Amino acid sequence: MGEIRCPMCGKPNPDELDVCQYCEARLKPLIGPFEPADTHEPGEGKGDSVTDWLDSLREHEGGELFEAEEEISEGEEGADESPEWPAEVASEEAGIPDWLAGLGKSLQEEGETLPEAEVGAEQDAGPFRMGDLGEAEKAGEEQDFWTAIAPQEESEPAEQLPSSGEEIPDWLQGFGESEPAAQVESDQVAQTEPGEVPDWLAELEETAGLETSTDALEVEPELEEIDWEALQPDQVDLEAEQESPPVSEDLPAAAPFTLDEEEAGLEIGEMPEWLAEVSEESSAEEAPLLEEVDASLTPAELPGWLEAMRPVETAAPVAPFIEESEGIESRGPLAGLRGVLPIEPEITHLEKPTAYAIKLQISDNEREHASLFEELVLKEGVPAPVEKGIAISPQNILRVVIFLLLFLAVGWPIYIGSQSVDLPLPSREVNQTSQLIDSVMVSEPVLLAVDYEPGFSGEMDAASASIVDHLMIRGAYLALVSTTPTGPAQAERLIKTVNNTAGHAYLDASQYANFGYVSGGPAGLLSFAQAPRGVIRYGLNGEPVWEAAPLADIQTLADFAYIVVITDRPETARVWIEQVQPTLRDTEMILVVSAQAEPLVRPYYEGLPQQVGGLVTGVAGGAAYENGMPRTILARKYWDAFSYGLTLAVIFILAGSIFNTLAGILAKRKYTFKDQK
Amino acid sequence: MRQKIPISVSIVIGVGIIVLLGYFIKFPVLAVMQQILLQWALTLAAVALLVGAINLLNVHFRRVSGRQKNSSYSLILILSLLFTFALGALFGPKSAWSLWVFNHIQVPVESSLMGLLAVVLAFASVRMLRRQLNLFSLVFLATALVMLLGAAPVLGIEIPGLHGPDGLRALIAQVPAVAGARGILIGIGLGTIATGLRVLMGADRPYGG
Repeated sequence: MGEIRCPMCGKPNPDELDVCQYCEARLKPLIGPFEPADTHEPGEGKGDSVTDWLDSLREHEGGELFEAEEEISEGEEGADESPEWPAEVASEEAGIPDWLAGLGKSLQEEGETLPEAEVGAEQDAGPFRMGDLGEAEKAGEEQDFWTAIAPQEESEPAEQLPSSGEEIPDWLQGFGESEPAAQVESDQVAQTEPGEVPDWLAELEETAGLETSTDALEVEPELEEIDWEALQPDQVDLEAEQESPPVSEDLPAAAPFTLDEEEAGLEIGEMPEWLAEVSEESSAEEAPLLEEVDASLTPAELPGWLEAMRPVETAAPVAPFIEESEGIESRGPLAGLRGVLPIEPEITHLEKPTAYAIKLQISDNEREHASLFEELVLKEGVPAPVEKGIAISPQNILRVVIFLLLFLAVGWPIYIGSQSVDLPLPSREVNQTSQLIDSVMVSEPVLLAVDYEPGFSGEMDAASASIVDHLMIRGAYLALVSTTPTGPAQAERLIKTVNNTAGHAYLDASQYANFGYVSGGPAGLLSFAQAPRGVIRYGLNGEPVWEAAPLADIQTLADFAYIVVITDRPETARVWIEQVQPTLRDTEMILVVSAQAEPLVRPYYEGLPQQVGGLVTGVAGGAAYENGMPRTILARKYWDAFSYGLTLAVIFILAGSIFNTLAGILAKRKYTFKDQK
Repeated sequence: MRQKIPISVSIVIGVGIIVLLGYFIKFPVLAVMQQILLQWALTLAAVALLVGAINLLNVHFRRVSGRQKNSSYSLILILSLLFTFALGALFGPKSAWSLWVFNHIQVPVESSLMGLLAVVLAFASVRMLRRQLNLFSLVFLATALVMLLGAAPVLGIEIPGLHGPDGLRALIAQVPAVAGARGILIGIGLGTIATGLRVLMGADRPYGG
């Protein structure tokens, strides 16, 4: 199983991976055939695609260092020569001359006093050159190489150059003349620290025209193997390189853009024959070159004092990461360039999100429960059909039976005019009421409030008819008023009923006045109690009510002889008592109420002082009142029907309660028995 | 930050305080103001009744015009209202026509509903113990039977100890019923005071605002 080196992080990955397992960079390009990134070296792959000629062009464009690499690949002889002198240096390590020792001391001092900027510049320049020399070289090997070559270059100019320039190797002379990087660096150091340049080095500058310094020791050993004489001066002119773009007019880089006829006939992907040959030769030569260079370099043992001299190592103990992390682009227009951004953006590295199944993984039992629940929910929205009950059910029969019996019990005595049942004896409140009305003088005004609904007219007419009859007998002037909208009509109806049943001929305006409806509830009653003339000015027919003789002296309700309130509702009775009674002073208030209002009205009657002078409740009260009167009116007619109807209702309720109680007990026992089973 | 009091609240509180002071302070000016304000209340209540009648007519007119469900009842209501109003406006509320409508339509209809209620109550009382059989139901039923039997002689016969001023019915009506009624009345009085104070302080605003 092969490995692929990541073009981004440089770490090895299994070749079956598409994305780096460390940095997730794509290992295999999306476009074109895949080639492992670690197999690409500078100068390789020239014959792989049509852009190989561009590769060579870019190597020229990259500057003289790229050219130096090409020179290295083309001339193996220089590479063969280089291992010789490091070996000699290694053999001479045992006996270090004095001048080298002194130089070591001076260099050590110089390294200590060297400005940080210069150190940094040196560090910056170093990795760039080393990286250009090829990725096969490791940092440790370079350091060893440095340690091997550094004293050699220092010692040789000091001993050999002054005597004879011929003893200097050609490659070193070429290096001294054409190494622009070393020249620039040496210029910088010479300008900053000129006083520390040794004498022998100054002489060397004069004779060879080469500005040397301790920084010249940083020249890569591979560069020493280059045949510098073959290089054109204009090609390594540093100033021209800095001022002009990398592409030079002299370089054949522009040639590919001026295709001749043969090349114009080529299609994309095809390569000219001459270029294919060159690329094959160069690729065949470059691979063994680097291997031989590495193999020929024997690691040297560096003395401690020399180890301490290495400013690069002390300042940058860590090997430059660019060399490992940055690969060389192998394809496309940027092929041959180092450290280019990846072709594809990071977003293309994103994988599709993991697809999750939408379908719930539920069991059959859960699915059954869910379907049952869904069915129940759906049923909630559907109206359940109402089962048509039996038209004649026992309950309907019971209702009909109750209705018929009550109807007969109530209707039959009325129909036949039965008066067989004795009237009840007058109670204390009934007697008190009768005594009060007995004291009414003729034409004395009596306020009669008719505040009951038409639905209660059956009970209230029977309860109040005897009292009204009594008032008519006494010849009182009746002032009819009501706090309910139907009250005025109800009052007219009551007067007419009493006239008809008792044989009176009470006439409007002369014997009674209908004040009509007093709105406002309690507030209206209070206002009416305080200033009746301000509230009621005209009668029900629009006539001025206060012009009647009996009402001429009425300024407040206290001026009436009595206030008789006929009502079926306890609330109305309470309002009359609470709002009107306090304004009456000595005038008594008589209440004729329905049976349902009795419990709430009786406290006002039972209380001390009495707020209600007389109280008549329901049909029984009216019947009792009639019992004390010389003649019978409505209560007497209703009393037999009332008595029979109540008795029958009580029998129904009692019998039905006993039956249903037993039925309920039996049903409970039945259910309990079933549960026990 | 000062809180703004709506004008309606100020009016209500002012009027309420004036009317309330009229009960306790016998000051002529207060009495006159109280009376005037109360008469305004009467007028406004009457107008509100008229507005209610007009609104009722409007609502049912919309139902009829929109041909909504059971709009025939609305049509009957509108015709009845207009007919009664026409009778009262033309002949007066005390006229024979107006009283005939009242005596021969409104009173029988409402009285029949009350008679129907008596039958329904009797039937419900019959089935009451089947639905709910407990001590309170038994006490309620027994009390109702005593009050019914004591209200009138049973088949024309008065039962000693049940009927009469000193009978069981009178005892129940005058002692436990009055005691309970007084408790209710006291509660009503306290609730009325609390409600009145809240309205006077603006805490309760049944009028809105």
